[in-house]
Amino acid sequence: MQISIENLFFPINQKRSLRIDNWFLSEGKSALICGANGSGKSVFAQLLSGKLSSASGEIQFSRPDKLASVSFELEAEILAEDRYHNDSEFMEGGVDHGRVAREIIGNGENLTSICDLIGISYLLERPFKEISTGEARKVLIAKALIKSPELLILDEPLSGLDIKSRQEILELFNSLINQGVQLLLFDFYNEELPTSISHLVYLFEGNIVLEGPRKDVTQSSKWKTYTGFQIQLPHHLPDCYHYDQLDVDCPFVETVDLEVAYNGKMVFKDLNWVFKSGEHWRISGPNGSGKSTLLSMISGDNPKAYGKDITLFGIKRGSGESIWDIKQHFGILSSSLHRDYRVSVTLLEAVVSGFYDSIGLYDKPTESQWRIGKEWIELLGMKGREQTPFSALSFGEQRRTYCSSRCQITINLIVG
Amino acid sequence: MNYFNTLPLRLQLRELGKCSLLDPSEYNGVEILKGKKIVIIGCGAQGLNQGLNLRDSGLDVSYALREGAITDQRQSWKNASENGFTVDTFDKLVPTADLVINLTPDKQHSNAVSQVMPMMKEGACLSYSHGFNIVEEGMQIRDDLTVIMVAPKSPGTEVREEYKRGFGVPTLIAVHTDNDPKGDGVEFAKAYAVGTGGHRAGVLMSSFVAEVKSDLMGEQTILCGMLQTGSILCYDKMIEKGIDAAYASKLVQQGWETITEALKVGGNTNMMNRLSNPAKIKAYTLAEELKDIMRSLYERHMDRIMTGDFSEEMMKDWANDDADLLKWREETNALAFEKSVPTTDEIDEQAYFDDGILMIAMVKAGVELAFESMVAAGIKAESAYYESLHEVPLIANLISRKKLYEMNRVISDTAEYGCYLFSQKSVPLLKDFMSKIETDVIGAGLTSDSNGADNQQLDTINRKIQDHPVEKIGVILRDYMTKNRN
Repeated sequence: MQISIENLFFPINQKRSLRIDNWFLSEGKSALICGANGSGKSVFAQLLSGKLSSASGEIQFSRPDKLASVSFELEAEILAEDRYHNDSEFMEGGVDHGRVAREIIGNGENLTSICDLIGISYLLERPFKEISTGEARKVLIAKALIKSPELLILDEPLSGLDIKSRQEILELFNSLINQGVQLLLFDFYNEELPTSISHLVYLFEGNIVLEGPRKDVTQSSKWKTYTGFQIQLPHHLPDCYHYDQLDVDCPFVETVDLEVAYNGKMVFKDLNWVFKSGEHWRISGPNGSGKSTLLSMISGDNPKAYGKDITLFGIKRGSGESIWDIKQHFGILSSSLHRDYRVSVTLLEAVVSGFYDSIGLYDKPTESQWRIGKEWIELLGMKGREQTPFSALSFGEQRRTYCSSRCQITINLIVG
Repeated sequence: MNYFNTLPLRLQLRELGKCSLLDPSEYNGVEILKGKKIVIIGCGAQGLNQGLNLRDSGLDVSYALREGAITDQRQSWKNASENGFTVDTFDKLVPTADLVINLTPDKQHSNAVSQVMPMMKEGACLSYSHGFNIVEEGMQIRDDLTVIMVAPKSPGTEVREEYKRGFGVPTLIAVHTDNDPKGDGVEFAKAYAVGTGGHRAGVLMSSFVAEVKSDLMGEQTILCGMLQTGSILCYDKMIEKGIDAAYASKLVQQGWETITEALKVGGNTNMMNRLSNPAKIKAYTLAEELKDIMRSLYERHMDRIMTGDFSEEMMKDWANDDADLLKWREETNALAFEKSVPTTDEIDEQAYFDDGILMIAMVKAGVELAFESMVAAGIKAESAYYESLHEVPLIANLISRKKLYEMNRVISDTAEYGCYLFSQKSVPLLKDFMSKIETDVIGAGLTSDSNGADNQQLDTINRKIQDHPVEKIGVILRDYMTKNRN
């Protein structure tokens, strides 16, 4: 379908606005819309998919009803609906698992074929809020496709997907384009983005600065200026807060014959793992293989850790310790924790909350903690925006903030 | 026999007047519960989530369920065992328990406690989350047992969410004066509150009597009763005046939640401030009229709760297989509002205020009347706040998701029974008042767009709104409940 935009204006934050004076995309033409964090990609995608309405200007589509979208915002919206309709209080057993993946995707004749194609048939009866990050992405893609859209608006559709799934989804996108579906894909630029899309638009600080055939744009002299590394690493990181050191001989993690199952379904078993001080571990596996479950077993967030043989920082789980005794020893970065960061705090408060491992700020930070928090914000290139609400930051900016907040505490162990 | 009625006036007054916010220096962590056996009876939303918090605070928690729930592997059994807890029958777990936490539904208290009490070990502690069984049903507890109450003032899922964030929910604690043989009941209650994270959001030290009398009053008047009355009257009025039925339906169903979100954040003052100057003056005037008309009804409910007449009447219906309750529930299902279909069109958040002036007046009048009636009966402002203003958004949320019939079905039986009694009286009581109502205050908004107002009048009204005692105590308690105390 044909899209034309005139004099579009939308304020992204106090300093920056998305401003598109004149933009036209002809019938059936797909495009990549790329840019760095905070460049306005998501705002642009949401304006196009009708999730946001512009402050001024106009977007015209030839057939707006044949449009579907995939984005983090959509996922957040679905999860918020589930929370709103949560009936835990009135159910026997007190747990409302929310809608299953099948309900999220919706009905359509092609349900079975789409789910087979994307490889999610096995999880259709699982609660959406309990599946992994990558699996949730795939469910959203299926939800978009079931509407047989003419235009697909995809905001970072590949994020959280494992290598194999990325390849499969990219192939799927290519074949959709060949079938005549029009794609608008918003993402950081990467060679692997669907080769069938030849048109590239580059956003910089809320403006379209480059546009044209993919090859021409990426080979232009300006491309390097816009896409080059913008963050200069400092000589040293801001100070960390110190506390009583652990016994150096004590492993961070020790598990004996660890086994985890949900409703009788095995996630993993016979895990004997010793993770010592000074070591670095990478734990990899495809989407849904149990990475997050393993992480939650050692982060103190999973109730199933009780009754298992797990020793963290020398403390045996279930020996009368409080989870805060354990949490003080590590920083954790995870997409699901970022997702759970739903409280009204400012950027500065979000960073400083890392000192307390809390989501939101409930303690009275010291002067030096405020100072360190400000240094981190400067390091992130967000100086001057300390009082901006965390929720008003772009997804990428939130992620950066959240990461820095979890880095500043006593770095014994960072997992994520 | 009604326990409250057995007390001499002197003790009735003392119990009713108990309520104070604990100072952070008064807690001693979970020390007194360390290494003790805690057994929770019932695994619903409160049971499961409080148990998860207590265990994450380093305490030893297990679940006692009825044999049937275990052999049939019912959902409560599944959820407790999936979360790695020991689950067993009453007779296996209760005799070893130092603290037994009764978190079964209110109506089952009599049964559950009668069954558990003989099994409890000498000198153990029994905890309730609501005092109806003790105060109104007059349950006698063995002399050697300590009886406490710990009642988080939020749904179970929120109790868990806030704990995981590193915070908690406001919590009410109490000790049953007749069952505190060692005098350490309060220490158990405080430690239990700390274990669920409640101390971070404010713990109120109250009494069984004050909790029951204020809880009954709040739920049957401002919470369920007033919102039910308002829904019926506002919807019917809009239909009578030709407002689009789908719009009227949504305005009422979603309106309570939207306007009380403002109430939750900043009390009546903030809710009223969401209106334009002329609309605020209008809402204030309507609320004053409503208060005049309804004051005697609120007071009558408070009086019948105090004398025990209300619970006696209700318990007769319990004994009669809920005949009245079920009949009234079906009457609610037959209401025009209940059958209405809300529009799918978006209504702007501000429009709920602008078009819902009467609804705002009803909330304000109801909150103030319930609060005033409680305080006049000897209940402290802190208790009265939690049982009136604090809980309005929770019921408003239920209505926005489920309308009236389902709201009534899921709330406690005491709340539902009281809600019907209230609305049966209040709807006819407001007939004359409603006959003068036009769409400018419900459905269409004021006709003039001007925000102009008389300064003198506006200033007087603003002061009256913010100087009401429910607003004064609200500022203090909300400050405790919200995060940023830095």
